[in-house]
Amino acid sequence: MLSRYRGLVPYLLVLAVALALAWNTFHFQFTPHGDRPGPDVWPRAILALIIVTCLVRILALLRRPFSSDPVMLKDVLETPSGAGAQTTAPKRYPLLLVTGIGLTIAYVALLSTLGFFIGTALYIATLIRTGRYRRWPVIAVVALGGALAFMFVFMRIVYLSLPIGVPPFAQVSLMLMQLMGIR
Amino acid sequence: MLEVLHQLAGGFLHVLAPVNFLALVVGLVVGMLVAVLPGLTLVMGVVLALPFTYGMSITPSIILLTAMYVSGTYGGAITSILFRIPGEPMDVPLLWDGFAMARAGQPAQALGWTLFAAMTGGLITATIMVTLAVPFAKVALTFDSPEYFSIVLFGFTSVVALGGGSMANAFISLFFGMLVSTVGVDEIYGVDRFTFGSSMLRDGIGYLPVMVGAYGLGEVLVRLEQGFVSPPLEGDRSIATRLPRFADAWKLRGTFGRASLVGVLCGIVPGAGATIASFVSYGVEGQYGKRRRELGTGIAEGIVAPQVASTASVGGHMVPLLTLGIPGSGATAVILGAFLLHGVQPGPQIFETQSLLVYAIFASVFLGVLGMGLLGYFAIRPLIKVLYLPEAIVSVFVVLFCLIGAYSEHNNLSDLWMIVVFGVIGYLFERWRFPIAPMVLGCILGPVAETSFLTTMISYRNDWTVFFTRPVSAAVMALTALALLYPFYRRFRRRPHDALEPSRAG
Repeated sequence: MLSRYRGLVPYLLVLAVALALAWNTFHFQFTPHGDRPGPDVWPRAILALIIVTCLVRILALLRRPFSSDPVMLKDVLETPSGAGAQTTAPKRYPLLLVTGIGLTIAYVALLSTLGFFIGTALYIATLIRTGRYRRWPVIAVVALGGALAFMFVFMRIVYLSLPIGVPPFAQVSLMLMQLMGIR
Repeated sequence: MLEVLHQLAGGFLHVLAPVNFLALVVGLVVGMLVAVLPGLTLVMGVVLALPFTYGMSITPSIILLTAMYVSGTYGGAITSILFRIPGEPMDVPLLWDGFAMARAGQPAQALGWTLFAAMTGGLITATIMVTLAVPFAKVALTFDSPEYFSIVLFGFTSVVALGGGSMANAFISLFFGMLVSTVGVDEIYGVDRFTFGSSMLRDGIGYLPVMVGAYGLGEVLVRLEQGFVSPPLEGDRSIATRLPRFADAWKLRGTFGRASLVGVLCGIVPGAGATIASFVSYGVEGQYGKRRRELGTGIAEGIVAPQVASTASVGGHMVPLLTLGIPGSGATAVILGAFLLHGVQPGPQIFETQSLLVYAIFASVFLGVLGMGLLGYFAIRPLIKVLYLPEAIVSVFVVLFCLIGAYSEHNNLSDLWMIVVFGVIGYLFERWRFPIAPMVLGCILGPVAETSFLTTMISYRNDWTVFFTRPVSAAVMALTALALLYPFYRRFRRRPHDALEPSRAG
């Protein structure tokens, strides 16, 4: 029974966030200038539109719970005869997704500690592996080569100041920078 | 007209300067590579190239991105025809006749027709762009805030209405983007809006993390969840290109004409991108073409119609971008972003203040079309090689370009967190069938809409009827109403397989 109403989840979520933000607009601290519209008018109007749209969609789904998903172009398998379209449901691997998001969060969080080179090499290697590519020698070459290439292009050519990390990881970054002639 | 030609000649000379010419060549090559790779959309490619333009001056930056946009409308056709893998959503109609012709043992002819169509569409659109832009800009100079607000509103509405899929989802996506643009300190009152005491949010959320996160990281997360399953390549096909004879092409002049018109019109209307142009043009050919009953069996008309229209839409998109500062597609939204990053606001004044830049862009479209032809003819074999790269490796580098690109704007790690947040939001949007393009356009044009709305309210003493009493504004408002009503009319008349979601394509 619950699965029938799974399509409601995004709209309920957006509605809840919109209501909370709408409540927040009543707490903007400002001094009104005559009859000029305040800084709360525009966001409140947008939030009102979001709330109305969500309510309309929720009501529509409650009336017809199975008509929720619009067909997306990439879901459509076209046939040369143009005889019609079929939707295909690709197999999903939620664990890969969670691991990918987790690795990206860890990369951003640890970048200032590990430094760009070590952090990026580790990130490349682990994310490629998470993407079900299994040839370790290729992964190692791509990870080290990729991190070095990024470091060279962005620090030596684009003059971007990438994080070098904290000791002892910083020693690796500094050594590589010296080798590449980056000051 | 002579003045325009004179300026255009200056533009050609400017593009041929070494740095600009290099940007053009790099843009053409990268645009085609991006379009060939099925996991990487044209808009994503343009977004990823944006950070590399920070260190450049504005002319090569815009030339680079425009060249990517032009050649990106052709690259995906190659894989559609040879391997039945559409590189871009706009290349799907090419599967019907292009792949069928290749399967019938004529892949070189199919590729030749596509290349000829792309070049013809490109040259026609470039000519129309140059012809229309100056009169458009002169009219736009008379616009005041009510006109700007109504035009932005029309842009928003048509993005939603023509985007296909669920209109409610598209509206929510648009409103969400507009809401994101309000985060930070308000410019008029200096008031914190939705900052929740965070210094990171006080600076506001730029459109770059939104675009890069949602288009780049979000798309990679979607494909990672599917295990990076690339479609299998179908055998070894001949990848030579044989251009059609002029006499054969002349027989299809009606198709070329119809498709060019559809492409340019779809380009000028905000929201109707190359994908819509491609599908509509194929549909028009199916209704009015001489050999309409043979469509889908591998005839040249079925290749020419969608390809001419998708390339012709590029010039159409550039007209409202340059003359009004309003992007009608994902790719032109990124190009607008590049203008703004370099402190140049496109609009009618740009023809006075930056005429050399404008005509250099026009000239770069002409040269880009010719370069695309040369590249498509001679470099097709190495271009195809990128299809053999493992998707896991390509995707990791896409993510890294997203992250480093965002970091390089302010040298600030907090921008990386924004990328991650909008990457996850982009994934959820894809998962829950919310189109991303309206969110990005809402984020970019939200401040323009807010400013022009508030300025109108202040200037006209809160009289909202001004939007309906000034002629241009009233006319655009009427178009907005039509754009809103059109989907209901379409729903009333549509066939079951018409509900598509092409707004991601740009």
